[in-house]
Amino acid sequence: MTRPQPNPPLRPADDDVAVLFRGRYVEMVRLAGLLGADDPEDIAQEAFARLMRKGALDADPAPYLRAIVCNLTRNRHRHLRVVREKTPRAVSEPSPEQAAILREDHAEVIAALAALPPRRREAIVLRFWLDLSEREIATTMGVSPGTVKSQLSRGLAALAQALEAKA
Amino acid sequence: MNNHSMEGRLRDALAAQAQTFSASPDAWQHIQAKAGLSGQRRGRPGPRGTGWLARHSAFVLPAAAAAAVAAVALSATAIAHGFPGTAGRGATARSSGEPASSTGPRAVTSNGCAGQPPVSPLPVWARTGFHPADQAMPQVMGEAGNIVAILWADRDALHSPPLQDRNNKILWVSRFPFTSYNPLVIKATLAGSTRTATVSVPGGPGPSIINLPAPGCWTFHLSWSGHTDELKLRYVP
Repeated sequence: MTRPQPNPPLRPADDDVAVLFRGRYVEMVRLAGLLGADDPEDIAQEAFARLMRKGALDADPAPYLRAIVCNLTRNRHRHLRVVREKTPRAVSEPSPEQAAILREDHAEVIAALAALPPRRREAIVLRFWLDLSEREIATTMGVSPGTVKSQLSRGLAALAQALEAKA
Repeated sequence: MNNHSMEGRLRDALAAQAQTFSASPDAWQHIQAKAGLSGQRRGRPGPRGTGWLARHSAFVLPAAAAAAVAAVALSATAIAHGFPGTAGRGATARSSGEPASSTGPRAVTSNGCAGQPPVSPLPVWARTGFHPADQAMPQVMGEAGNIVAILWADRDALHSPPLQDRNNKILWVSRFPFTSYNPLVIKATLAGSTRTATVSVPGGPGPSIINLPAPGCWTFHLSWSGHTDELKLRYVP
C-alpha cells in the first residue's frame, strides 16, 4: 500500500511557527510580562507574527523569539516613557489580580525589579527566570557576555540594596 | 542579604509573578492576523503537514530553560510524573509498575491493537490542513469519539524501543475547539501487566512523539482541557 502523504497547505515555516507557538507562546507572554510590558500578549503575538513573516527558521528559533520579545518590550517602554511625560497617570501598574496573587515579599522583589533600568531587568529575568547562561543572554540582548555579567552584577546589587532598605 | 538568598528570593518572586500572566484562547488567530496571512491559513494551531516532523527536535527546550518553563507552563501533574525536561513536543514516558504478568487491565479490543490501524478518510473535524481533505490516513479514534490519533505509517507505525530512523509520531486532533493550551496528559497502561507510563504533550492535542517503555498493546487514557477519551495503540518491537 502506498503510504499516504498529506500535502501541507501551510508553508513549512508556518508549520514550524505553529509548533513553536504551542510550546513557547505562554513562555513568551510571561517573559514580556516579567519585563514589564503593559500588554504582554500583544508583544508575544507580534513576536510570533514577525517570526512567521521571516519565512525560515533557525535550527533553534527560541533565541530569536526571545530577542524579539525583549526588543519589542524595550521599544514599548521607550514609548511609554514619552507618554508618561505627557500624561503622568498612564503608568502601568500591577492589576488587582496580580496584586492579590503575589505574596508581599514577592511583591517587594517585583517592585524593586521594576525600578531597574530595562537592560538590567532583562538580564535578571533571563538569568533567574529562564535560567539562561550569560552567553545565551548576550545573544538574546545583542550585547557581549561581559556586558551581561556587568548588568547582572549591578542589577543584583541594586535589588539587594532596595530590599534591605525596605527591611 | 547574601547573594544566595537574594537569588532564591528573586527566582521565587519571578516564578510567582510569571504565573499571573496567561494566554488567551484566540491568540493564534491574532498572530495570523498580525502576520497578514490569508484566510486559508487561519485556524487553530497545530501543524497538519509533514514539515514539523523532520524538524521536531529543534523545538526541544534547552535543559536549563526547560526546568524553568516547566515550572510555570506545565501542570504540576505532568511534572510530578517525571517530565520536567521534556517541554518540547517529544516525550519519553517514565514507566512504573511491574513487568507483564497474567493479571492486569481489561482485554484489548480497540482497533488500535487489533492488527494494523484502519486507513480511511479522517473525520471532518480533523481534516484541517490535509489536502485533499478526504485522503485516507492511518488513524485510531478514541472510544468516545473525542480525539483521533493520526499515525504516519500504515504498518507498524509505533515501535518500542523507537527505531533509529523513524520517530513514534502521533498527531492528536481533538473534536473540540481550543479553549486553552493546557497539556494533553496521556496515562498509558500496558495490556497484561500493571505497567503504566505517563506522558504530557505541552500545548494540548497536536503533533507529538510518544515513546513507551515496552512493546505491546497500550491503553491510552487521554485528558486535555476538561475532556477525556481512551484508545488503544500497539507498539511493536
